[in-house]
Amino acid sequence: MAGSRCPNCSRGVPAEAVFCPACGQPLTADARPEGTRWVWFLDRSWDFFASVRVAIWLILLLALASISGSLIEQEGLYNDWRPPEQYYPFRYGAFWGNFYLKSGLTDAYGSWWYLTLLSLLSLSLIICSIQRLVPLYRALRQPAVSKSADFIRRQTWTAEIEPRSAADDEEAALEAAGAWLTRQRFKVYREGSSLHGDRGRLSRYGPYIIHIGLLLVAAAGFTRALPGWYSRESIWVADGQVVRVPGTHFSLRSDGFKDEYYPTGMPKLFVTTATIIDDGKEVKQQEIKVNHPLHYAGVDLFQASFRREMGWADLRVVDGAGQTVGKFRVDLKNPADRYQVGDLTVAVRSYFADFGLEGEMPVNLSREVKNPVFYFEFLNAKGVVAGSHTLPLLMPDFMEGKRGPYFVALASDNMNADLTWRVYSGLMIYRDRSIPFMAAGVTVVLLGMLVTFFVYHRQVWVKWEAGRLVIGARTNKDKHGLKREMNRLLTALGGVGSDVRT
Amino acid sequence: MYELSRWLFFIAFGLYLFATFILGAGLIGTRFTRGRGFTANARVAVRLLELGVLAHGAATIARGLASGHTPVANMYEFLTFSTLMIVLAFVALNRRYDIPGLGVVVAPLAVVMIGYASLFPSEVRPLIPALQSTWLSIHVTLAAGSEGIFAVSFGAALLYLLRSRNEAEPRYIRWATEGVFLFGLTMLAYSLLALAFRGFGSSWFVAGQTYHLPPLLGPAGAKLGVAGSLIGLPLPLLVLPAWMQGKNMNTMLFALGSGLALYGLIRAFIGSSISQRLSTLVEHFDPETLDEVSYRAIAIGYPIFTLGGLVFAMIWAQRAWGRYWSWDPKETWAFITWLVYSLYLHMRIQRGWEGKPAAVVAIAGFGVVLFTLIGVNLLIVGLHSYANPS
Repeated sequence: MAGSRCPNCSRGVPAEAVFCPACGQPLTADARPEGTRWVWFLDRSWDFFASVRVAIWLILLLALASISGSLIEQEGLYNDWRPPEQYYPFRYGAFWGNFYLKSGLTDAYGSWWYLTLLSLLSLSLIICSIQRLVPLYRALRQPAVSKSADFIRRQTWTAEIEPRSAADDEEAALEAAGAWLTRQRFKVYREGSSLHGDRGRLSRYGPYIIHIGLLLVAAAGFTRALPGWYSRESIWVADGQVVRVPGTHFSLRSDGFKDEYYPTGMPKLFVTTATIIDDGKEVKQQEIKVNHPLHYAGVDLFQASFRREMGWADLRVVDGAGQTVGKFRVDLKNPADRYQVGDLTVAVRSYFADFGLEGEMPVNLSREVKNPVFYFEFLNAKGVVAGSHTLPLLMPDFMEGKRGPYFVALASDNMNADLTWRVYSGLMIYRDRSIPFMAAGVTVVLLGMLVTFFVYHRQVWVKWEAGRLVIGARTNKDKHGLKREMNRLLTALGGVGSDVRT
Repeated sequence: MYELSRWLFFIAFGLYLFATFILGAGLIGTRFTRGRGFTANARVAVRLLELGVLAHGAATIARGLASGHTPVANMYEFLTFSTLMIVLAFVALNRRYDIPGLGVVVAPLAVVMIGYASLFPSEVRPLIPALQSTWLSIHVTLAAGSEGIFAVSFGAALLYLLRSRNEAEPRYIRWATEGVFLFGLTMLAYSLLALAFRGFGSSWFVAGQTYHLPPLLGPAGAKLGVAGSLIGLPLPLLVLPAWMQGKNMNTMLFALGSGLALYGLIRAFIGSSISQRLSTLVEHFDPETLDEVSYRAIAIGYPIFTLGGLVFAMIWAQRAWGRYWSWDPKETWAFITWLVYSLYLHMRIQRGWEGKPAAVVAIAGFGVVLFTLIGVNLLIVGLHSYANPS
């Protein structure tokens, strides 16, 4: 039986061969190199990850895995107070909700299967690149200048021309070709009656530059899991309030939050004028707007949200005759124990900022001022209790909680005038040390893409044979452009009887 | 200025439509002329498309001046801008590769996209705080530009598959090509249906939601039959749980239903699959050029998409939200788009997968692009839902 062809590299192999002498591909089912099974296993694993076919499948699997996570609201992104273990069964029903939780679909991009796929793909990137980069470098480092005329004729674009006049000879022709190529920024080599022009060699390394960049990006992404590399906090700060920024050594004071709207009602502007106080000194002031965070000491502060809350209430005490005894102002976030109103002392025996009932028990439903309810007791000049009044501020006409002649009402019986709102600005604080590495990674990827897709490795061979110039050229991309450029070379060299084949 | 932009836009749309008719007629005419004269006919259509691009470009600039921002801030603006990019990409690539015949895919695509865009509110609105940034101009326009280039690669790949259709090819390739037509017809049928209902001014109010199509599928909390009836069927016919988003499901139901109906009608009329019929009309196309154009378009669009659709998006996210990547559905689907085109590029270097299988991936890639642009905004809730749904 005559020799057959290697399935991997297509070169001819002798009939009894167990391994291909050129590329090492095992040719029979039980082909084993001398050495341990372990070494053989590593070899096969290497070949597995070095194959483009496997890379293609891994990319496809990663795409499908990424789709699965986008169809279900992920844990960090849903807008609900419930924790995941309660939220998903609530939203998708007990069966599916728990299935999503157990399978990791609720945190798909942090799940074991997604991270495994990413790791396998990273491994493939590394092995594919090493496998091909080394031979590529060797091949490109020493360009082959002298090639046979047959080789040249087999190139993508090829032509043969005879010199214009009898005076033209080998030297002049090759000189002219070399000069033209040099003007087109080819690197030109000369060996006897052969000439070789080479340009854009960098393009061949392009895909490997991209791969290295992607590995940097993946590494930068993984650093998020390292302690201290990434932190996210949020604070609420009222106008004029000073708040210690969590995770840092400095504080922030809000000098005012502003929200503006277009005539249609759509939001126009959210801005917090903020001052950073470090070590007792005001070190920085800036307007924090959406798209304009404040940067200080390695931390970024973003305008994220705001809320309005009832701040102060202007109240008055009314006596049995309906006369106003006096007025007082209450801070609804932090009311005082007692207020002096003329001869009367108004004591706050009990206060709920967000009153609600759990069964029969009065409780605070939240820490925000949403439904303020007071239990006032009135003490006369001698300290004797002269009456009491349970006042739900949002229902100031509620008289059933009144005992005795005195009661508390709004200062001018006008909710708009007597209630002053507090506005809280919501800021997000991020510290992310992976940013410079991510930036480096994507820069390498983009440079790699520039070189891969917009730079072309063009190679031209010119040989003088039997009174004619044989020219052949090839490119790794953009055959169209190659043909155009080579046709220009032909025009420049002139000559008769071009036998152009493309 | 706004009026001027509307007028210029109508002119552009008219030119695209006219070009579509010319190309359609030319394509059908090849049955009789055996491909002679089709190219000349196509070149005329390309001239119209070039004029259309000029008008559309001017319309976009006018709208930008009228609104004070780059006009890519809502669904209508973005879809029309994407259409401009698609036709522009085709016209530019045609200058290099001389493939006027590719217009048979690009021109109707432009028409259908504008038709779909017109379903969205088109008034000029000022920018909300999150969009008040130079990155709006940079990220969105580059992303749209790259997606226009991908559309051209889609067209070339589709024609390539039709042209090289043969008995021996695997069935999934035939299904892929036919699926494209089913999808296109679905978009067309739905746009026409929705426009018709809008034209009659019909709307239904169910459980706090306004429907512009008969509410067969009601939102959570609605009672059956409360919105009237349609040819005897109570509206709503079925009420879906909250997480299924009844209104969007209803839209999908009408879209798929009308698409299948239109497809079924056409198929019954022509007697065989659409791909089969069309493959007889494209015999004069050169499959090698189509394959080359399809590859080249992706080779240009892919780096631009990486830069504009991913990197600039990450930079903007960092500026606006504090995190360059949150696995938000839109971000995730942009990543999936990137993966699919990476898949395509790797298939091109794998023996056996570089021809028709890669072309199928090029087509699927554009489907993913469309889902990223439109599907995510409409079907999935997330940080990117500034767009007003139809």
